[in-house]
Amino acid sequence: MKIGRKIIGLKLTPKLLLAGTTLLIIPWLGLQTLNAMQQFLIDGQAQAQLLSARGIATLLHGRKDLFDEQSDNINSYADIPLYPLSGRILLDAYSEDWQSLSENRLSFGSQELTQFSLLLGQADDTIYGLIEVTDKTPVYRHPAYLRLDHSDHIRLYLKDKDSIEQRYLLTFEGSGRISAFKMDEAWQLATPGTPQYRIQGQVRITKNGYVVEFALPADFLDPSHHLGIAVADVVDQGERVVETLVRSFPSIAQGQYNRLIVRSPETERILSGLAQTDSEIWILDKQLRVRATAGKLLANVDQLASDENASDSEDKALSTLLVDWLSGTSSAPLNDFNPAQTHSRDELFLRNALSGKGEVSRRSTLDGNHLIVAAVHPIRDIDRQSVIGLVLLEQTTDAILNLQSRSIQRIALFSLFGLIAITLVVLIFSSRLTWRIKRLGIDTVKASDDQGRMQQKTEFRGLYAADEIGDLTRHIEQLLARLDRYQQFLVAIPRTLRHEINNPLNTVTTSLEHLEDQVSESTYLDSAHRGLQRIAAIINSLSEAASLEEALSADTLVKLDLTHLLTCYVENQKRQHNHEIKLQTSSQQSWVLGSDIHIEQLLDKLLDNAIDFSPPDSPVEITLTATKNHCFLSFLNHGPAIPEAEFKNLFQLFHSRRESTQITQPSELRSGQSNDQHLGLGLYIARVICERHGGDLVAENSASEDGVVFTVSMPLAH
Amino acid sequence: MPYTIAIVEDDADQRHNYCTAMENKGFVVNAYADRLSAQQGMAAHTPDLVILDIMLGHEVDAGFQLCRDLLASHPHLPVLFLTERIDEIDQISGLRLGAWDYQPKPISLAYLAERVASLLRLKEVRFNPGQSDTKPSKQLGDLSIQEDAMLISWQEQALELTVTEFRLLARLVRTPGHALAYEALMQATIQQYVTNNTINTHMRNIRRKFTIIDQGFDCIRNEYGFGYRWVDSNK
Repeated sequence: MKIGRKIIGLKLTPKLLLAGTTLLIIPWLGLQTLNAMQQFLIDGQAQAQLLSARGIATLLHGRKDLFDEQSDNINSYADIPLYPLSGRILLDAYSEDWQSLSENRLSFGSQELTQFSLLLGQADDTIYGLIEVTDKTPVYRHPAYLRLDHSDHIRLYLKDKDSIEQRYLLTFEGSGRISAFKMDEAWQLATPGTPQYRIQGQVRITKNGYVVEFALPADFLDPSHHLGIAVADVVDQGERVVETLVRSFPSIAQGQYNRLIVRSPETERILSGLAQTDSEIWILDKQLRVRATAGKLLANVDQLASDENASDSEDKALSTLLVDWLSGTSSAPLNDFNPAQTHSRDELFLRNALSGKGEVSRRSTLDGNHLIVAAVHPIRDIDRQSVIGLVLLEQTTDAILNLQSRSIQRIALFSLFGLIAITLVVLIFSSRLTWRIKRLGIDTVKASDDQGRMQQKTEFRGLYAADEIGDLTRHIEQLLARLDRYQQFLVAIPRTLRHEINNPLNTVTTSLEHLEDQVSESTYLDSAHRGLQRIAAIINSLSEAASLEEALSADTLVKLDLTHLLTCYVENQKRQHNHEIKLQTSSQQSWVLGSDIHIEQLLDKLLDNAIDFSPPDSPVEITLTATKNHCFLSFLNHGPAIPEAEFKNLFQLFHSRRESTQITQPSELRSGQSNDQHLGLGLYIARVICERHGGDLVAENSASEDGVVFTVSMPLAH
Repeated sequence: MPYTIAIVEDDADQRHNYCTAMENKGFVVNAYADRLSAQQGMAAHTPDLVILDIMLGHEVDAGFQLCRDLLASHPHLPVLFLTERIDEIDQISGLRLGAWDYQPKPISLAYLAERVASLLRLKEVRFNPGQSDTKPSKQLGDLSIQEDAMLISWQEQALELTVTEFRLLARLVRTPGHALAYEALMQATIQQYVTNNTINTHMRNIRRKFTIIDQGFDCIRNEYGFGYRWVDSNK
């Protein structure tokens, strides 16, 4: 692109590198392939899971007993989940050992009245309960009262093995152990009168009320696990009357207590053999309640394995994060339905599966970090028609994603190496190419000097390369050789011309002399002589200019004082010219290395030029100044300014600033002095002499616009 | 007895002009157009002086060849080259062959006659001493100059100068201590077309010849912008 006088644009190397960026498409393609592969693998995993689910379903085929009777008569009122507990509970009225289960506690009662939360769990044959009661005015049991309903207490309603309703009351005398009594129907007196020691518990009075933790043997309950809990609140210390009774079930009259939702231990036993490390098996009944679970989803099987030696996994490399992002893997901890704490699942695809068809679904985990593939298959009854439950097999895609992320890492690594290698090769290749082109450019420029004269002995490097640059080099070399021959021919012209012209010139001269003897009238003879003189002078100057460089290099340069030479020269010239010449020298001596006769010739040319263009009454001003290393000799004439466009050609051979008509003016013909000027040789010769002396000749219009300055600069000899 | 001058020039017009001019001066002229006829003619009648062109017809160096042959048989024969080949290299090879003078074309017939006469006189002085009265040599410091014999010596060593160079130097030492303008020097060369540059070249050559004998030679001084000056070495 050309902007102004500068050509702006990319060099070869960046261009090639830019073109090379298309290589980046390779890792992208790899990523696309991997994504397709991932899809395929996940599909495969889903199918495999479905098959597994179907297998498990077959295993449980017809086992209606595992989904016992409780599924038949459904009480719409809240079922209370009975969470499987991993260990024994220490009865201390603190909720720590319930761990995260405490989030799942159920609340009963209302804000205005007494309120309590309930959490039930089972470990082995004991049912544990945690009840937290909000009660600003706790009234403790008074040992003096026989009746147990004169203080705050908790009532347990349950049905024993024989479906006979039983009542137990938990009471306390402040923080500490609780006492449990089997009660009469009115909840006033304990029937045996002694505490039921198999029910144990602890109470802890808190700021807002009290917390009760109790243990109840499982064999107190009927197989359907019916249990109701109520909290009785006595407000007034004096009256000691139960003011409010908050129940976990609607009405005692119906005899329907809450039912505890219990896992089927037998099913879990069956499943435990099928459990895998990275998948979860859920058995759900028709109400989508969890009957049994096995296995546990883990965040990242791989990560876990390497966790031991990568304890500081928090500060992971950025690259790993990037790879994880690309593959969709997350190493964040997995947070999903907890098999131990979830008592029912209600998802659309599960409902669909109840109609009798296996299904596959994909979903994010609850925390949104992981992708889960879920396969569900119905469990049928013996009649093969009705569905008695569902098998849900869930597995994360982490294994696949891990595989993919490893592949991505590998691809990234290979791509990186490949890109680096290709970039290097491109860089080396292009810099070599650039270097060769540059070298060719330098050689080409070197082949001729500023004036376009061919230099001898230009050797082109890289002449034997077989490629296009080699071709170009050869072409340029041939072209320059041809140009050189042509230039030599041109240079030889003046000399050849002189040789050729001298013979006829001699004929004319000698003939003219004979004529002079015979003819008395000399006017025409004189003019003929002058004409001849001029022709001879022109021929002379031409050949002199042409062979000037040769003559110059034949001269040895000697150390000479330019100030002295100039002073001497100007003194002599002042006597010969009518024109006023002013000289100003700044230093006593300026020693330069030079050839005196050629410097004299240079002065001749510059002075002639200055006088020629100087108005008759204005002086030519010559100034010699010097700096530390150079001296400057300037000739100022007060003639017309030189047009800007002409400066370029001023010092070219045959460049003349005169109008062609002026040349033929008789007065100038007679002078014979300015022959060089008319041919445009003077300044050319002056410049060549300057260059031979390691200097330069510059022309410029004077600052005051009233003249032209020619300045010679030459290095000083020290 | 008039001198016989042989002129070898392939151009008929120029040959005719030379002949007329020389005959007008009272010389006997034998003119030849090519090398073979010149060789035969001069073998039959040995001339007193030969004017040679270098290029004869198609023979580029015929003049040089003739010169070589002639001087082999007649070592004292003055040979004057008159040629359009004015390159310094040709001049040097011509003079090295033993030619007495080398003149570029175009030439003035008057100057030619003067040169021919001066060469003949030189021949007389050099090879027939006593027959003509010779002026005694002039002494100027270390320089000894004998104008008629065109002999010059510096510190008693002889210098080999061309006719033109001798004339320039003789003119210069005629007025020792005084600057001599280019114009005066030009006239002294008795050549048709002379420029400052020609004078400078000659002066350079003369100086070089002096410095071969005497490293410290510094008697010829440039008078920049004017001409040259001979400065006596003793002063």
